[in-house]
Amino acid sequence: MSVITVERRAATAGPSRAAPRRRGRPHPREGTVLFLIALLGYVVLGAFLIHHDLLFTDGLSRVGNGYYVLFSRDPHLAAVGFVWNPLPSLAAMIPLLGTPVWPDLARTGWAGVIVSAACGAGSVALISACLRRLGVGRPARFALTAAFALHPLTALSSADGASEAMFTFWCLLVVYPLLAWVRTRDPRELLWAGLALGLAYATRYEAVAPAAAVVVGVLVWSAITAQERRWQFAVNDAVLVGLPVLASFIGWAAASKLIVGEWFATFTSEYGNSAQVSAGRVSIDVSTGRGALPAVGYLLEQTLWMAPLLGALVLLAGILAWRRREARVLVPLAVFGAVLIFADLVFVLGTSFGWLRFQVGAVPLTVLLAGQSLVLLRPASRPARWVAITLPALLILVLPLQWLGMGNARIAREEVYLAEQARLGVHRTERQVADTIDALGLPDGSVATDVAYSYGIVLASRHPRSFVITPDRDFEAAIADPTGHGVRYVLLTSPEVGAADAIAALYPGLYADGADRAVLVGAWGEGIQQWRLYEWHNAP
Amino acid sequence: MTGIVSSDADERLRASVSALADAAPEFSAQRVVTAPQAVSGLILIAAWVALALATPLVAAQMLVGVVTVGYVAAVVYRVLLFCRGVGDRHRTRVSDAEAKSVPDAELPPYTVLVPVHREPLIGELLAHLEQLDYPRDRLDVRVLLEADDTETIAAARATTCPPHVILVLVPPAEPRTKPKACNYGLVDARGELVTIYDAEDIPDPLQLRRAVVALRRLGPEYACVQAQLGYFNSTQNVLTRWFTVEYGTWFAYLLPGLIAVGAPVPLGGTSNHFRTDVLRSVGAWDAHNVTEDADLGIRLARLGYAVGVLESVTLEEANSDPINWVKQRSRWYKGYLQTFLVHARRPWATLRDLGWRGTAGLVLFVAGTPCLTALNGFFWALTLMWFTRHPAWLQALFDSWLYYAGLLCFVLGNLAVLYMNVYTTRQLGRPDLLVAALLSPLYWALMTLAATKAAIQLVASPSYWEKTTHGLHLSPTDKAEP
Repeated sequence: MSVITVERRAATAGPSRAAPRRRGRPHPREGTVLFLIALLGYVVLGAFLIHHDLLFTDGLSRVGNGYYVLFSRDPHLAAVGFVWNPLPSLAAMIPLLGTPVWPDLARTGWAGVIVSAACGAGSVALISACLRRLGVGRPARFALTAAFALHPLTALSSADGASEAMFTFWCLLVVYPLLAWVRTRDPRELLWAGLALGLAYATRYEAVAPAAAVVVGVLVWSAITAQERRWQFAVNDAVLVGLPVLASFIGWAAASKLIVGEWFATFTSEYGNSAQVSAGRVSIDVSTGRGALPAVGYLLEQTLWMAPLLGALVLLAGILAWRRREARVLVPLAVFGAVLIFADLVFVLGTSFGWLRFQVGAVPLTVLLAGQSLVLLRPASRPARWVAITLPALLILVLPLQWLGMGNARIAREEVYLAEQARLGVHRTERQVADTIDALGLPDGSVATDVAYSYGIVLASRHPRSFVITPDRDFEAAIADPTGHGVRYVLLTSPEVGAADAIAALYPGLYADGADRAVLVGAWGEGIQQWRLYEWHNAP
Repeated sequence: MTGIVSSDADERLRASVSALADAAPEFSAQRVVTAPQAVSGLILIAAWVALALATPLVAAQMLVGVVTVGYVAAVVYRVLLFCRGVGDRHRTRVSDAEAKSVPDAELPPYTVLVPVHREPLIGELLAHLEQLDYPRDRLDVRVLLEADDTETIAAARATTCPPHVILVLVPPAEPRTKPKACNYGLVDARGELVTIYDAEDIPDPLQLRRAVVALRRLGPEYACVQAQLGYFNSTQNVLTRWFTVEYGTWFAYLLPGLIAVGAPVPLGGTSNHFRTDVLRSVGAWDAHNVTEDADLGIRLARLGYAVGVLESVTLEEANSDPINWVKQRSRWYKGYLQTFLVHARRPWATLRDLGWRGTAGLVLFVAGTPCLTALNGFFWALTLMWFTRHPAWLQALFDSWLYYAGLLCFVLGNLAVLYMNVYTTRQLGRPDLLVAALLSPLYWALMTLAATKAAIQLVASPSYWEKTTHGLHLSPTDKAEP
């Protein structure tokens, strides 16, 4: 008789599946409530903006990039394009899946609004979490969170479908774990900060600035605080926080090189940022003044409007932190400070439009520095209590002024231009063009157009497949020999707007009079942006 | 030396070879593939071949599709385990003070099995075991020697063994495996608890005491706690560095992750501490499985027991020689596949025993580990080929959605594993291993080699045990000394 047998465990009082139960995490109720309130607010604001045709063109064009991947005549992932970093478009693809049920997701840009509102609401929850982590008490925390959430730059970027909301969200997701890491040096925090940086780069290329600042900051702080083998630990920490953003950077560049042949299309493509800025150089100079010195003055003006207390708070928080040896103040300074310095620097160097929304980082920075200052002041006596009340109050009281600033034609050029466009009914015209083309009942691939400009029309169309668009893999061939490819029409915008239109470039004079190749069959719009539909001679 | 046990050898030998196979043949790898498994396998292959003859492209795409989906699932599962394992709630920690505070009188008798085969370094081994902090009158150390391993026996006889150490001669018989020797030693073991150390192990001196406290704390449904393994020669060369990082991830995150998601834990080869009665009642080790440890972990879970991870490190010798490493690794992978096949014999029974979470772990982790490794190399090769040669057949093979999904997961999956390694070096407090962690793709090439060898060997000679040579950390002059 062997002593070795095979029997099942006899049932005991204990649980039969001994795996530990998933313990319920403490319910983050405050964050959830803030998120839901902010989400509701931003969606309502988004509805208002959509109703008045006030969505940012930038946001709409990113929705377009996601839309072509799913619903164009040639749906493929590379249609997402390589000029703008892809995450906002990829995220918009999720709501866009509902387009067949609710066409307005694409037609009026709701998909972008949903994404930006979710990111904005997430940022509101995160900023409150950061303030709590700093130790800011509840009344001040709510006041500061409100000052962040109701600031026009935060609120508009969260409601208008632009990518700034997502970028701010990732940046706050870098700040939050780092605030803990500075004290605990728990490498887990670096894991989350590193991943958030990687995603930030996938959202906007400005992320290189906070990434560099964070990697250097982590390296130095780790070396200062390590007990032994300083530099080994420091390098390990820096690699941990920097690897995802490096991978994101290399991965995006390599994908871009492989598919469109350019490493950094946003700087080298004729549709990219650099090309747009040089095309808009004259108008930028007219509004902001020519040269570096007026540029600095212009930025100061923008900052004074949007974050009047920023300078004072950097000083105050800096002095307090120095005296109390509080290194956490460096975290928001490194992350959002780098974002702002980068945005300002490229403007001074003349490679940026200097739009007001590029200053959006000043809002979370102001709020976090205010929170940090309150915490550092707290133990002191009467003046501290006085500041604790006035500082959050002041930040809220200046909000109406800042909303007024959004109508200032000098500092808020893009916003004012947008309102102008809306008054002219630019988006309404686009929808009208789409409806007219739809009514022709054309087969797939009948209308060639460059969606760098006509994204609004393709998004508004109920038959997006009737367009041959720039991301299509047969676009080049189709516009070189339109009739041979079954292309009957070409849709063009005025040369003032469509400076780099691929079709207009191939056929000079086409927009003006058809260049003896095509006959005008439709024209829409007034002012600077007009649309013309030409039908090719001997069309199929 | 108390004496060499070799009485009633026949009955003991029979029990140690085939007790499990006799009592519950469905749990034993004596037959790796059962008839129904073979038939269904052949039917699948035949169906695929028929499809391939009809429409070769569709058949090839289907195969690639299945492989890609499997690869993605295994990668995602690994990342999930890592995330769940990162919190240290799923490891059992027993402080030094708590371990030392148990009075000797309350400590149970403890059997330590030490299977040795062709290990002339037995003196060194016994010296390490003498470091264990445990009352000697409650310690039952059994050095398991193959009776025809005259070299080791001679070395053992030449060493003065303390009274709590006995030498057990295991009669020569097939299969020549470590689990058979362990069973042979287990049959009349005196301990209430039993553990295994390999010949060259350096256990944490408090490990036995910690295991006693941990098992008492965890309760009777826990049959075993697995201590963590580390390496004493981790900086010998790049291979041992890689090995150290890999084990760090394995024991610090992946095993706790398995516990967290409620999946069975494949045990490691040494430093697992069992309740002796439970171990005997579940059939002990399968003498025919070449990773009997992993198999036992799954069997424990199927029979209703749990396994914990104990925070206590045993230092082992990392394999520093690539050839030797590939041999050892291919044995592990072969054993994992063997274990999977054993437990996949009656899928419904396994599903009933383990639940869907446990079964997912069995498929995605036990079968997934060797498959992932083999496939990773395959995908690397395809990717390189794609970038260098751009062959049209490759494009045809990967339908566009499959291509993007596959490429994305391949890139993200490899990055994720690399990143986990970087995290591990930091968390282990071993930043000196950072460069090795960053170079780990080269390690994966070796792993692919081992996984391929394992797959071939699984078919050719399923029970063959590739012996791992120990003592490679010693310089030749050390070894030459008498």
